[in-house]
Amino acid sequence: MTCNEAAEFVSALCDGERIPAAAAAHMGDCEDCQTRLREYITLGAEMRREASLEMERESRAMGWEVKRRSISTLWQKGWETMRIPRLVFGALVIALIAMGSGWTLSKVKAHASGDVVLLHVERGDEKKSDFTAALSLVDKKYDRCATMWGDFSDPSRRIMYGYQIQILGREDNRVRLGVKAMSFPAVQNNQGFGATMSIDALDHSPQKEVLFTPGEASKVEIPGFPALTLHGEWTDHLPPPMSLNPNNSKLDPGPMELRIQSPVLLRDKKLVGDWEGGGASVDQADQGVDFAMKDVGRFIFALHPLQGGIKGRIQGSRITFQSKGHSYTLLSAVYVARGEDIWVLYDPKYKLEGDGTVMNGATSVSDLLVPATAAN
Amino acid sequence: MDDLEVWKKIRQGEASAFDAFYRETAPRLRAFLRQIVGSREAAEDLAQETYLQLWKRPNGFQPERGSLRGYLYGVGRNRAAEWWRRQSPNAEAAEEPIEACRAESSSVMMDALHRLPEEQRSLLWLREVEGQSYAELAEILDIPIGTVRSRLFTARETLRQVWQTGARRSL
Repeated sequence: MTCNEAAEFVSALCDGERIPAAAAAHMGDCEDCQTRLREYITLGAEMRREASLEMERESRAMGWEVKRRSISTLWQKGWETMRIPRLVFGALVIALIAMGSGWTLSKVKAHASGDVVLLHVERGDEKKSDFTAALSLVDKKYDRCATMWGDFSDPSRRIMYGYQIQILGREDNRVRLGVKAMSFPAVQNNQGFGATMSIDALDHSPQKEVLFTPGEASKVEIPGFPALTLHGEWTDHLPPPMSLNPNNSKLDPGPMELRIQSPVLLRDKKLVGDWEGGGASVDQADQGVDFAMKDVGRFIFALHPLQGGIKGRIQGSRITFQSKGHSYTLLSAVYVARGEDIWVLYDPKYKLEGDGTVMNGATSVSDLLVPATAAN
Repeated sequence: MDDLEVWKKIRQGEASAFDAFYRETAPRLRAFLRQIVGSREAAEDLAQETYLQLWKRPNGFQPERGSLRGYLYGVGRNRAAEWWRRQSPNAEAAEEPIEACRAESSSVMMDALHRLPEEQRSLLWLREVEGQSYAELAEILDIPIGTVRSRLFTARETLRQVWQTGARRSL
């Protein structure tokens, strides 16, 4: 038997197959065939090693519904995302400073009825997954979302982009969406480049209507702006907030995570603030979240000491602290953090920009403390 | 719980059983699909479509024809072929190496693997990484079982030559 004749049996031997005696005898004496066998084995081992690296990533969270055809594509990744409900959108002023680190602002409501599209938005040409939003055809408080991000690639032209996507109606299995976009220059602050803007300005931007088919990718192009790519699925309910969290969809907060969702604020056991649907979360040591409301003021929360701040206490989904003789309790829809200590910086005289009545956001605390400058 | 029991529970609409199966097998399927389509995100989407098909139409799997996992890879591969047709209607995915893979590949092995035709790549991956039997490979790739051994040899030999060429270039 020659090496060429035996070669196929060398391969079979790798697979644990039995081979003819003649092939086995040849291989026992042939250095070339033994080399070939070792190389086949090495290649297989190397493939498995590479595959092990590839398989390390966890599966995205999925929802399997028994009777409905819809399926959730609840995975997200990315940074610099923000979504705003209609309830707060009209008068909302958001001061969000896009930095190299991540910030998120999310809003969903659990267990609402109605037809819902889980919309997964990718931004620009980066093919990065940006965020997932749940838009309801029925519940008008949850019929739109928004996102902003900064493009700082050109030092001479650092730009922030803002988009709003609103669900307008349904045509058969398709969804009619209204997309608005705006841009504004980034400014330099103490930590880098970012921007402060009033997202109300999006209301004045022209709206482009697109027909989106759930289950298919759809590219939305608005002249002068990076394109968006939409994916999505129908579902029959608004998912709970944490299932849309890009960084941690678990009930248990991460080690450095601070998360507040749909909070209400009690002062001396009386309700003074309700950010229904608003939410923010951070997971870096220097970051914080802020909530503000007209006539109430602004609260910056962080898991590290804040200069001039008050030390509060976390108990599950509740934050308690004292300020100026009043006792405050912030009730969140989700567990706030793993630890018990939290610091609160309260500015009762904080003025919201424009006609805004509520706001919430998340980024590094130093950026939250930068005086806001309207860019619209 | 073996795959047959899992499948029976899936047929009964037990989402928890299906979810456990998904979590266990999805990383492997996704890695397999990535070898075919070359894009991590496309592989992710195709994996979701594959599981969705299994969830919605579990009777597409016939236990007497092979294993549930083998069926899963077969469905995934078909989905990947459809994906390729959508990307380029005139292209045949099985005939050409995937250039796109190389953009995301950083290892000599993966680079070498991506130079193989899709069928050889899938065959090797399913055999070496997934440990599929000859019968399962025949089922997944829809080829006669008698040709599995020879095609595996061809794939290994091609990969070896590409690997050696790459190794020489890197010297």
